[in-house]
Amino acid sequence: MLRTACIELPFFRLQLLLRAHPEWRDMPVARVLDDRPRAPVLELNRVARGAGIRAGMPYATALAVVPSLQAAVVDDWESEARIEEITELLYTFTPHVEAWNARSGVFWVDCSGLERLWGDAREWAQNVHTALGNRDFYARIAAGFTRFGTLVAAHTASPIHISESAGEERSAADSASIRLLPLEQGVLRRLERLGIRSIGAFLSLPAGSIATRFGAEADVLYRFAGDPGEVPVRGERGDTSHCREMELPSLRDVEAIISHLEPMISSVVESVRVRGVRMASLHVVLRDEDGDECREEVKPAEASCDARFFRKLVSLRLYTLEYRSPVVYAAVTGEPIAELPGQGMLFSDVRRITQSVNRAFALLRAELGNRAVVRVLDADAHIPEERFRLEPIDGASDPSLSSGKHGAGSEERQPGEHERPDEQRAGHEPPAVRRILLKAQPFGWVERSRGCSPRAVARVAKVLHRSGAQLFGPFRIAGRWWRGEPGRSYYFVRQERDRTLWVYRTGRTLWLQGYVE
Amino acid sequence: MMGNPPADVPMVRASRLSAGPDSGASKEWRLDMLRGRLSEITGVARLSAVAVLAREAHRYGEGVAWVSAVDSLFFPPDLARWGVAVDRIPVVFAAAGGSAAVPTEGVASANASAVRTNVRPDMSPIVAERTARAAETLMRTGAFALLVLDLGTVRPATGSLGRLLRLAGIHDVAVVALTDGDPSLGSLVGVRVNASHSGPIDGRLTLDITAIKDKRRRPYWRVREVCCAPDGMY
Repeated sequence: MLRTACIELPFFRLQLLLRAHPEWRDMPVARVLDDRPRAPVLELNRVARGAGIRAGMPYATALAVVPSLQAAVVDDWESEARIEEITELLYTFTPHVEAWNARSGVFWVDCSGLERLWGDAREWAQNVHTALGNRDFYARIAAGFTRFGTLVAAHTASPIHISESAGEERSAADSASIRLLPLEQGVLRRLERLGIRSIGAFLSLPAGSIATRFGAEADVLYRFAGDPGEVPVRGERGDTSHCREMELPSLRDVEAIISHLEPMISSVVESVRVRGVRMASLHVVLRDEDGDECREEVKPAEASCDARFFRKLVSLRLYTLEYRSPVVYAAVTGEPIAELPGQGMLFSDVRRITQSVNRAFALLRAELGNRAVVRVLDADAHIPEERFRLEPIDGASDPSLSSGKHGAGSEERQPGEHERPDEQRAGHEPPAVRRILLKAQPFGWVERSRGCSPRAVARVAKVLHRSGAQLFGPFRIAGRWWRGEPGRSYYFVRQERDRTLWVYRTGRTLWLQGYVE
Repeated sequence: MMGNPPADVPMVRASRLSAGPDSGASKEWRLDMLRGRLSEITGVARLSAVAVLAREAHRYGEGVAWVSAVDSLFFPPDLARWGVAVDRIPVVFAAAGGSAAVPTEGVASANASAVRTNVRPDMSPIVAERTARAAETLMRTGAFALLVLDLGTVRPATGSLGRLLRLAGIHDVAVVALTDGDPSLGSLVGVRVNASHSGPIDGRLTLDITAIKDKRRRPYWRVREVCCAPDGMY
C-alpha cells in the first residue's frame, strides 16, 4: 500500500527568483550567493547554461561571458516564507506534511487513505502538481513507500512517478548516484576516490565508521538512506492553542520581563492541562528592539503540568541571558505530550530519589544551559580526546545515575569484554589519573624535524626543559589519517613540585593535552 | 603553605586493589571518614586521590557527582580502571555556560613552569557562585554520597561553603574540593590533604596523600597507594 509521497521543487530558489521576476523567463538567469562581483554563481537556468556559464563561476566572470545575464540573491527568509506557503497549500491535499530541512524545496506527505477523496495515487499527484503549477511552481512528485525511495524517484523520474512495489523502489534508490545526497563536496570527492559512486555502494560501508570517517552529517544521511523501518510522515498543521505572545513595553529589566511572562506561562500550562496531556518542554522567544531573537527551551525532568515549576525554570534561564537592547516581544509555546498511564513502582524510595535527581538536573539545565549536565560515555577510538564522549543528560535520567552499580567502568567486567592493550601490563595497579583538557591547547613550537629521532626528542626537550623538567617519551600514536592528520608523539614532562604535563607534538607544534594528577 | 611532615609520622600503607573486596585506602582516607564534612585536596595528584574515594563509593553502590569549575575533566579511561563506573557520574560544567563540549576561559602559557588552566579572573566569582549553587542543588537530592568540586583556582564564598557544609551534614555527603593550592578554602574545611606522586620506578608511581589539617584527629597522617604510570611514562 502506498503511504508516502515526495514532492520536489527542483532548483527551488531559482524558481523563486523567476517567480519574482517573470520578465526574466527567456533570459539567462543565475542565482548568486551574495551581492558581490566575486560571489559564486549557485544555480542557473537552461539558457544561461547553454551560453556557457557554470555553477561556481564568479558572478563577474559569468557576466563577462554573457553580458545579458540576470542575477540576484534569494534570502533565507524569502525561502522560508515560500516553504510555509507551499506547506499550507499541501495541507489541502493531505493532513500530514513534512518539509526537509537538509534541502529547500523537498516535502514529504502522507498520501495513504485518500482514494475516496482524490481517486488513485496518480490522480491525486496530478491534482497536487496542477495546484502547484497554478502558483508558478514546477514540481516533481513520486508516490511510494519510504521517504528516501520517493526522494530518489522524484529526483530522477518524470514529473509524476508511482512506485509499484517497495522492492522496485529500493533497487532504484540503490542504483542512483551518490551525488543525489546533499553531502559536502569534499566528502563526495573522497567517496568517489574510493570508487563509491552509487547510493547502494555507500550503504554497503560499515555503519560504525561513517561518522568517524566522513562526519556527522554523512552519518545522518547514511542512516536516512538505509533506514528500512522509518516512521510514517507525521508533520501536522501547527497547533497554536499552546502558544501565547505579547508585545512588551521595551523592557530591559529581567524581573519585569519575567513578570510579563509568568501569566503567559500559566495560561499555556493551563491550556495543555485541560486537554488531558502534559507539557514536555516550553519554548520562549524574546525579540529586542534591534529585531534580534533569542530562542530558549526549558525542559522539566519529566512531562508536567506544574506551572510554578515551569515559571521557575524560565526565570533561572532568563537570569543567565544578556540583554543588549530592550525586549519588545515575547512568545511562549508549550510542547504537549500524551500522558502515559502511571506505572507504579515497587520501591517508592527509589522513585522519590530518581524524581528528585531529575528535578535537580532540570534546574541545573535551566540555569547553566542544556549542555551543562552531562554523562561520560566510552567511545571506541585511539585518540585520547575521542576515547570518551560527553552526552547531555536530557529529560528524565537513568535511575542508576545516582548509584554506582553496574557501570561500564566498574570492576565487574562483562564476559567476553576484552581488555585494551594498555590494561594488559604487568601488575594490577590502577593508573595515575590523567586530567584531559576539553580542547588541547597550543603549548609551544619546536623546530622542524622528522619522526622521533633522538635529535627530535632533544628539540622537544629544549622547549620543555626550562625548569629542569624530566622528559618521558616519545610515545607514538597514529593520527586520524583519514582526515589527513599526522601522527602524534606524546611526552610526559615531570616537573619539580608541579603537575606532570601531558603533551604531544604534531609537526612543529606542541600541544598541551592535559596533566597526570 | 604546606610543610614537610615530621620524620616520625606513622605511615599507613594502603592495600593494593587486587588484595580483595574489602581492600582500599587506609582508615584515614575513606569515604566514611569524610562524610558530612568539607574536605580539600591540593597537590599534583589530586585526581588520583579522589579516585580512591570514588572507587569506594561505587563499590558500595553509592552515587558520585562531579561539579567542574574548570575546562578540563578526569580522563575517563583512567578512572574506569580504578573500578569507577564513569558513565554513572553526572558531570556538571558550571563554567561552560551551557556548552560542555566547548572549553571556556582557558589560558595556557608556553612557559612550562607557569602553565595553568584557569577561568578568567573576572569570571571567577560568577563561576564560583554557579559551582556552589550546582553543588547545593545536587546535595539536596540526597542521592549522592560523594560530591567532587573540581575548583582549580575558583574559590566559592565562605557563605556558600557554609551552606554546603550544613547540607553535607544533613544528607551525609562527603564534599571533596580539588583546588590548585593556596589559598585554602578556609576554616570550614575539615580535612585538607596534599596529594603527590613520586617515581616512576619500574613503571609505577607512588601516590602519597598527606593530611595537612584534620579537625578530628592528629594531622600529618599519610596514606600511600601504588599506581602504574600512564603509557609512555615508564
